[in-house]
Amino acid sequence: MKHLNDFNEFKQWQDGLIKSRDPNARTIVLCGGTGCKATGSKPVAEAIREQLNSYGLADEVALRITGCHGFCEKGPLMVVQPEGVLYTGVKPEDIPEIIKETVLNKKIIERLLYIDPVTNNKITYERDVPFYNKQARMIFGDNGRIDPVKIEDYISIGGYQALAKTLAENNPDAVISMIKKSGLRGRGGGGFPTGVKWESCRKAHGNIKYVICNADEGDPGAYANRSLLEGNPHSVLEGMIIGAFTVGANVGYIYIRDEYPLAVELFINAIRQAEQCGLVGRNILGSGFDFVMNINRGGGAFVCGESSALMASLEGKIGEPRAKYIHMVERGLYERPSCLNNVETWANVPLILNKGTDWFTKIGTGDVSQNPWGGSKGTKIFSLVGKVNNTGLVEVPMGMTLREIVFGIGGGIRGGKKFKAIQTGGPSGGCIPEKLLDLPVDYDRLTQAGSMMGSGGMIVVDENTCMVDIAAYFLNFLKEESCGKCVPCREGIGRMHEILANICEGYGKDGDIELLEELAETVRDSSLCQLGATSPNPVLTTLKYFRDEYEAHIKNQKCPAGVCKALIHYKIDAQSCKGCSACLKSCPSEAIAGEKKKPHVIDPEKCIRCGVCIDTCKFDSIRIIPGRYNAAQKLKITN
Amino acid sequence: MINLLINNQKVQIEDNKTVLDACQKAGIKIPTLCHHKELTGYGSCRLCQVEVAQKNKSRIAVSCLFPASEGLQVQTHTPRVEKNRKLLIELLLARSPEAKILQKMADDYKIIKPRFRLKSEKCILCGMCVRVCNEVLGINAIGFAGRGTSKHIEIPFKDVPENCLGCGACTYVCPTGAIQMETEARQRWAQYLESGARKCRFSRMGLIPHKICPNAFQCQRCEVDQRLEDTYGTHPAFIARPAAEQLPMQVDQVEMIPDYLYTHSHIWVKPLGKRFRIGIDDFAARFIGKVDSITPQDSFRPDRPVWELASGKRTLNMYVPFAGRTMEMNPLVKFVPSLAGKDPYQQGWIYTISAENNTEALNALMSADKAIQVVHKHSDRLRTQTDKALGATLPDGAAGMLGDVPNRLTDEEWQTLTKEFFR
Repeated sequence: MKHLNDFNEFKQWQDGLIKSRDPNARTIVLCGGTGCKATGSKPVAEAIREQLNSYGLADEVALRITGCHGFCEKGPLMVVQPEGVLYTGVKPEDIPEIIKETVLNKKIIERLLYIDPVTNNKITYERDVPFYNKQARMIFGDNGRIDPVKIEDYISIGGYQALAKTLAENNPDAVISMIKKSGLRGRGGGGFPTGVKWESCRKAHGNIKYVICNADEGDPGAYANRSLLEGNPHSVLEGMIIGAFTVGANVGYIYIRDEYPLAVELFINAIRQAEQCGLVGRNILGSGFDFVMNINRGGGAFVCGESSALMASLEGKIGEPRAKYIHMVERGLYERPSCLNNVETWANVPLILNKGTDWFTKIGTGDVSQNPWGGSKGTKIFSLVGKVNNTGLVEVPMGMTLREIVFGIGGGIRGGKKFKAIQTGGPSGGCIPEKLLDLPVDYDRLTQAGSMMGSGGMIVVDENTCMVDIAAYFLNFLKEESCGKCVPCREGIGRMHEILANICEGYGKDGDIELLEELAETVRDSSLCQLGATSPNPVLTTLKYFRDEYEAHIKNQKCPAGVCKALIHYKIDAQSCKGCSACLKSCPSEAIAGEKKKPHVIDPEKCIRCGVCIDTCKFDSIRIIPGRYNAAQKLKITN
Repeated sequence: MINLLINNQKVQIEDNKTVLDACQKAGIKIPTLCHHKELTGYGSCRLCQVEVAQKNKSRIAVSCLFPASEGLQVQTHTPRVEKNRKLLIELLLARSPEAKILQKMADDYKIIKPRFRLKSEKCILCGMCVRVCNEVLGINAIGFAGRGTSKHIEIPFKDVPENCLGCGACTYVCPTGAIQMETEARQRWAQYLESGARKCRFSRMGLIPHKICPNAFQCQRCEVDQRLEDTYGTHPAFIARPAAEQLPMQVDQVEMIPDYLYTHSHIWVKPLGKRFRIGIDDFAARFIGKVDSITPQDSFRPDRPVWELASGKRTLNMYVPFAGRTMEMNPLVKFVPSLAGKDPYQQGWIYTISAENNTEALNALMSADKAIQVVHKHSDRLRTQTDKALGATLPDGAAGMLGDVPNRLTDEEWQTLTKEFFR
């Protein structure tokens, strides 16, 4: 790796790298993202190396360990190039066969192929898998093409070209107008137009400015930023250098969760390599522009993903937000103009500069030529999790409908159950019901539906989920993660959770729903930051779309989905029960009685509704009946 | 002056004030629990919220933080605001049902009984005690711990902090009486007294001359305490403002930090325990222009330079008047040397050093007051030199002149002045 002193040297090096990249080279691509590592890709990699050496193929067949491909559920993932054969769930003992059959003889090993859960067909090639081919993998697609620890790989697919061009042209205003025209909006969820932010930061007074990358991804179930940092750290870094040059900053910070050790390691490595090549540091490519990059690891507070709290934390203070009546672009980190963007936003920047705004604005909804708030452009990465067949990271164009995401890419609901709702935007997003499944996903439509884009979490729930319980779950998360500074958030969320928990435990009473709505409105109006202001979303959307469930809990003392333990009881179906006594033996509270070969019965007084009997029963005879076993049972309300 | 419209009534107020200041000036009563005029805005109780309209857009904002601006329209008691305030008071009352101030507010808003399960916290987490200890006294003996619903006020490591003055400013500002001076704390003071001479807390705050307490630190009954309160009409803590004094001082538009020590050769020194942190001062930064590189040295003596700065073709050797060794170079500056000139006092520090003899080193340095005189002298000298060079008087304001120095002086003149200023 040599130090590049000017644009020509960069160009020469890049041309050389592009030439040496043979698209038809035999390569085994193995996913080394955190998901696949967890399912065991490390021993697989060792086995591949060993086998290649034993066949003497180490020079002819390359092994490329890449970042996350997104299809984490089926890991470890392996793609044999150039054919693009996809093997899922690969184990070290499969490797000799793969090398022998597929790599050497180009034969397909049937048992390792991916089976489409919808059609039950085996799919050979990666490009044919519906999970992949329905996506628009503009940012994420490169993850499978490069080794994240090699800057050469990134440069050989056109990396750092946008930076070189920007520095050579030396026209920051042109970059800003391009970003503005592209309609790129903050991918952290707020959806603030990036170009507008950059422009105000450039205009802000001050010698010293900062660019900051927000990689404090704290939503439960969301891991898009992590996978991007692990799979393609240089794209984020390149975006940041361009941003720094454009707004006039010389120092950059990235705030990564400490729970992402691999991302931290790979990003540090990326910075070191860029430094060695002269793409970070002093006098980048002879342009006279200096840029230094710092890494800060977050302590794990959810609220530190909020920009002002993040900056307070960077300064070493308590991670608490402050009022943003004076914007961060004017007075942010160390009271200086600061331009903070999400990982995904930064990664979009080189893409836009390389491919042009026309190309970018073709993807997405609305019209941004007049008003940057007029639409949503480009793609967005979502973490599709929950009760769908294919879980993982999906990158879709803005404007794709939720139905296409859940049923097209996600492959429908697991176990043939019925779709109930999809929760978007992390814990403080809202639940969107089935009737809105044809809603196109973009910033404004999601907000209209009472939810939000957030950092891209999508949790699918099926008919066996209680919406009151799910609202209580998210409020509990927010209650714990609120910083506790302002009254509406600290006290208000706590009280909302208290009411919801009471309802789930069967202590709901008349007036609870109205009180919840009143609290939600005040918390939304009065909170200091967006964590508080969006926290009522789970309650408000479930109240809006699933109000009957709340009423069933309160008035009829019944949990229709059969989740809330106080409001259900178990019953053994006498017809199908064979009297095998398996449940009787497993019951921890001795609530089941009955003679052998005769239908058993459950004593609801003793039953604690733990569900062990349901798991043990081979004949599916135990039924969950919504409602208390004795409707006339007197309630003792303690509140 | 700024004109704004509060409840359709014209109000005029000075620049850099908040909407709450303007409301108070106009005599409009707005409930608040976490605001104190001597402390920075915090915005935690949210009771002072108002509706503001700017460019036809109306929104809720907390008045204690929202800056008053020209033409702003404010409505302080709209139904929406009043409804929010009422619920917030109800929430707080459910948290601290015994707080008198909340009971009174609840009466005003006709809240009979909160609809929530009552807790019995005394503290409402307004943070005034934390802010007074940090901002006014600069002690930080008290702070927040935990987050979310388990957030609370705590002393570091749950142990009586060594540096607590026992000044009682926290108890003075507490709106609910959650913080009380304890006899145990007083006993601690008595122990300190036995262990040796100890200065009066007011002496330590800089309010009265150096004094050893004759009153066994019975601060609650001390007449000095009472006298200061009578004189100023507030808690003595609010008269001592060490934190405010740390704002940079300016001489000929060159900034100097009062807390730091300086050499005659335009290097600032900040003692850090047994070591020192050093960097160039604002005068040197403006004199040399954009710093292109710094050549570090391992050790230095009064006759051997501590580092060499380069800006274009010009180089500048700088000296400190004592001998020592370089411990660590600022990694940021190593990377981006121009930071040393852009932000000389904070991010642009250059070394951490250790001196051969600390006492000697400290004696060789001067305080900011004296350093300002040196800067003044040098910038006068510079002004005459540039005047001579150009044959005309430059417009007033040393900043413009200093900012242009590298360009206006010939290399020869620059070298001469260097010897004069930096040896």
